[in-house]
Amino acid sequence: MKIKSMLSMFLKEDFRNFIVIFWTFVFPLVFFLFFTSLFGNISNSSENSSDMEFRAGIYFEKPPTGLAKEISHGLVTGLGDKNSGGPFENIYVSSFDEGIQLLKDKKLEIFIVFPENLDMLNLKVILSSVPAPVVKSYYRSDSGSDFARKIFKSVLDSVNVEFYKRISSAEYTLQVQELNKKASENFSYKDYLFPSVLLMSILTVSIFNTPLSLAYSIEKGITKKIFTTPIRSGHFFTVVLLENLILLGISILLIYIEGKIMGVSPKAFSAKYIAYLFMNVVTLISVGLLMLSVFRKLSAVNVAANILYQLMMFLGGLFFDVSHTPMIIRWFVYINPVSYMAQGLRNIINGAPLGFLNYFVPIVWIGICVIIFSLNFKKVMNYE
Amino acid sequence: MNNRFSNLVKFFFLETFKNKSEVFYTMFFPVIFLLLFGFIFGLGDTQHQEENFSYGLVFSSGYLSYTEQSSQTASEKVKKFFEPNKLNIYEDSESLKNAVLSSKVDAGIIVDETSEVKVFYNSDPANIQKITWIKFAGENAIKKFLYGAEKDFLSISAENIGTGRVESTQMDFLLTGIIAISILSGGMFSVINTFGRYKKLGVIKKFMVTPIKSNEFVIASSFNKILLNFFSIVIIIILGKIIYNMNYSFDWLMLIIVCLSSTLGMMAFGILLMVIFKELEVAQSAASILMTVMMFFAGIYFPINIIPGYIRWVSYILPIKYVADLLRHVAGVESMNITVFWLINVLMATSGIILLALTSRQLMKDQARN
Amino acid sequence: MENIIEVSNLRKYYKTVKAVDDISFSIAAGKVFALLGPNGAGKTTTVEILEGLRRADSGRISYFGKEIAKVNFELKEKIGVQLQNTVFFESLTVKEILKGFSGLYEKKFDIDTLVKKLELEEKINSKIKTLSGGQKQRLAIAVALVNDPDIVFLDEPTTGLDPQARRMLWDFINELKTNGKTIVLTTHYMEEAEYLSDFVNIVDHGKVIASGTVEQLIDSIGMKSIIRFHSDKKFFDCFKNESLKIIEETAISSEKKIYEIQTDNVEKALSNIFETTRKNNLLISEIAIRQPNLEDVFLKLTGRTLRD
Repeated sequence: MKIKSMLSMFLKEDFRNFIVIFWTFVFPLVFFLFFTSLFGNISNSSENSSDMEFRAGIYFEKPPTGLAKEISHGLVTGLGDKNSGGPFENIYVSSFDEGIQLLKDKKLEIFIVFPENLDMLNLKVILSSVPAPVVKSYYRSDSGSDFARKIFKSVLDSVNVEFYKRISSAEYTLQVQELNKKASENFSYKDYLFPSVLLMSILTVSIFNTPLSLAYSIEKGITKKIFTTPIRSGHFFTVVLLENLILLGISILLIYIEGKIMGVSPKAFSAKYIAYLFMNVVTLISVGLLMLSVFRKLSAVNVAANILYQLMMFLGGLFFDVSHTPMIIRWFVYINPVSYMAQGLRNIINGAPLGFLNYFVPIVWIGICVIIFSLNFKKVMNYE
Repeated sequence: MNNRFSNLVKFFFLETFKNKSEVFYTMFFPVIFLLLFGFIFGLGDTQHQEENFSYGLVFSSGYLSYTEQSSQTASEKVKKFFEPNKLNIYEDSESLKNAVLSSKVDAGIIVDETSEVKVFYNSDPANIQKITWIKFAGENAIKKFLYGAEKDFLSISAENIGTGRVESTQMDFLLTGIIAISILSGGMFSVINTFGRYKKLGVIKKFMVTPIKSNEFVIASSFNKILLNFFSIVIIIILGKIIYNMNYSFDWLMLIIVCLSSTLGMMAFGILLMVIFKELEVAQSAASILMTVMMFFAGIYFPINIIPGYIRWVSYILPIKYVADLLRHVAGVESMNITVFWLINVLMATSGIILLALTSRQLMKDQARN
Repeated sequence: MENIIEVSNLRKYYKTVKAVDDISFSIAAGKVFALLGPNGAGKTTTVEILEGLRRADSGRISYFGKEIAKVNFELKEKIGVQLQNTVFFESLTVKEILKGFSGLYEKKFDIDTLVKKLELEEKINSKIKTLSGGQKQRLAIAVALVNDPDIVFLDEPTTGLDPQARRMLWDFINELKTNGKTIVLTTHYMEEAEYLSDFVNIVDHGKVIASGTVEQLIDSIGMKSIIRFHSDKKFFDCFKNESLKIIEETAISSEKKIYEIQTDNVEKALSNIFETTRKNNLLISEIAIRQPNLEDVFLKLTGRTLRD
């Protein structure tokens, strides 16, 4: 009854708080939707890059003829053909200078110049010793331009392959397989991102909500008032844990519903996945309590929460690979429990086993955090 | 009046710089992002490098006997097609698959005597962009080998057109983007946190009963935020130079102008959020959402061009893109039409000043009423 | 009368500060016991030790005749506490707060009755953040009573309230006493202690410097009546009467001062005062006669006023 009363007060306060509602429930859902849409775009770039838009300036130093004309125009048309997944919008320019200027003015992402000796191609197909014409590409240092350069290089490589394929008697097909997935399953960025969003939501509650709301209650004297009542500290913490578990439970449920609608792998709904997820919840809530033990003042907790959240999120491999970062920051990747949690959750989806470290590191963190928090409990609570 | 105003400025100067929280968030928090993203995305030096991948390959005995070559011959031959990427030859497909699964290699290829070549990727890529390039490079290389495409029919050269005063790399673009985010978040959050705090402490009400005008109050308190923001940028620039050996060459006068106009613009935005949302915490959340959106739509961490078409337009209406462009210009990383440069600065400064004037009065009234 | 709380030689030190320095007292059941003293005297520290929020460095505490090592949960069921600064969850309503805290106790007092007595009916469904200072204070007291406690600790319950609200709370506290509750009150308002308390401990710098009923304390300083008036600043030099003592003089302008003279014989004292002013051609105005109060007791004992 006492726990129920206190829990009811805490939860009502949370659910009437816009910040809690937004960051715990709404933001992860929007984030998942946006990033699946965004990065799914990139992952399907080779099959469906029609949604990307890079402007390619095209210039022929000399109008080609014959096979060279056929090939170059076919290449350019293919690049700009949205129906077949061409990522470029082709802009034909009348001079080299015009093209360079457009590139500098950011009206192009790449400027492709077909050389005046392009007709050498007509000879090259007969005499292999003829030097290959060099198609020049010009680009800027920004990411968009660099991306366009890489795409064009890849396309040109495949054009070269196509030449040989046509003159070869053999025909090879490439059977591309993603390991741990059945051939019928396509790679899905949703499956990759799903654990990231789940962990991000858990981090929000564990690293922000829990310690900040506790620090606020302690500093403002709300907990002081509660401790004048016959509430045991164990009960109090049970309530704090239940409060945050309920918030997390709802958030995770909403993410799962969204995942289901978006077609996330059924393995994410398995008992093993959910059990491992629960272990991650316990680990990160413990980390939040550890943080509160070390930084007791509300302002200090705020700062620490912000730093830890960013570090754990970005150096946890949630959104991009951090395993090859310089040692100056990679040490954090190794000790960050999120790194192992994200990997573990993805392994479950991929059908790979969980490694020793996927269990060991989070458990060690739980142990350390609980011990330190218990030893500092009275100081944290400002309670003698 | 001048005396009064200068005293007010001094007062807020002390208040701002003695507030550890504010100093941390404005000055040192962006440094964390600088270090984080610089090391994660950066290449560590100013040389432009292609990212090299590693591949594993198995020739089946059937293939080797069919093509009448030894494993060594075939290996030496195929490696040339994969350069500058690394290629390791494996004895059997099991060990190759394990190597792919344990990320010892980025992709694996099995060539046997049939016409079907198996290519493996680890279905747990940590970097979605990287997978695209791994696929392109690997598939093209093996096809070239199989078809004997020793020489290209069409070669390609790529030349980086320097658009600035200095030779720049992607890292320079990234860093100037981080500085832009720092200016914008510093400008926006500082006013929200400050005015929210002042409201809670009852400071605004106290000032309202003195002969200080509302715009004097806002200007005096804002001046120090601009100063703080500027110090933050200087720290980031210095650290960028020391840690990443960045190749920029700042025009400091222009930098001051950009910092001033951008901070003004974002400060006005912050005050606008305070007026709209009234409560400090709600305004803070709105600002956080805006910053998050801006970070991802800025074209800093990935190109705008790959954002889905139906929301790509958002990038063009957010100020971050333009502030990043301004900063690249003053850093010498990328040039900008001088008219456009001044236009953006004037627009930001003017809209900032107008919004500040309009909303500060409203804000003070709201705060006093509450 | 049975003592419900007994405190012996209580000490609490913080580094160099002696917050509670060897305090002893007893609190009789069904009475209002006041700890009176200026800010920083050690009143709140003392009561927070009794409430179980702090640990004494040394000393003994007994509740209901039994010595306790610490304030346990059984005891907490029987006490109600209104803290000096009580903060509740801002988004909850008055009713939700009362129900919530009521749920933390075995014994419950009817919430509707409490709300009515403390004039919170209009605000029962209002969120805490919309309450005025006085309403929040009344709510804090209501929360302290949700378990119908035997002992109620009220720490500065009327600070910041207007005179009407203050008087209303005083009447409520008297009603609690009538209902048999023991009240432990801390205050720095002399009038509050005088009006409400059956027994007062005057506390300063962590020590009890005087204790007793209000009458006993006032009698102890031997003051009878005090005559207060405005006159020229020269009055002090002109007034020659060794049997009458000027106990206070306060300048109100460059030429005028307020004087206070204590006396056993008001008529004789007034006569002496008028004689002085007449002989020396001095002005006199704003004459008032009052009885000594706890402020005078404190002033006599410490040389400072309660408000210093």
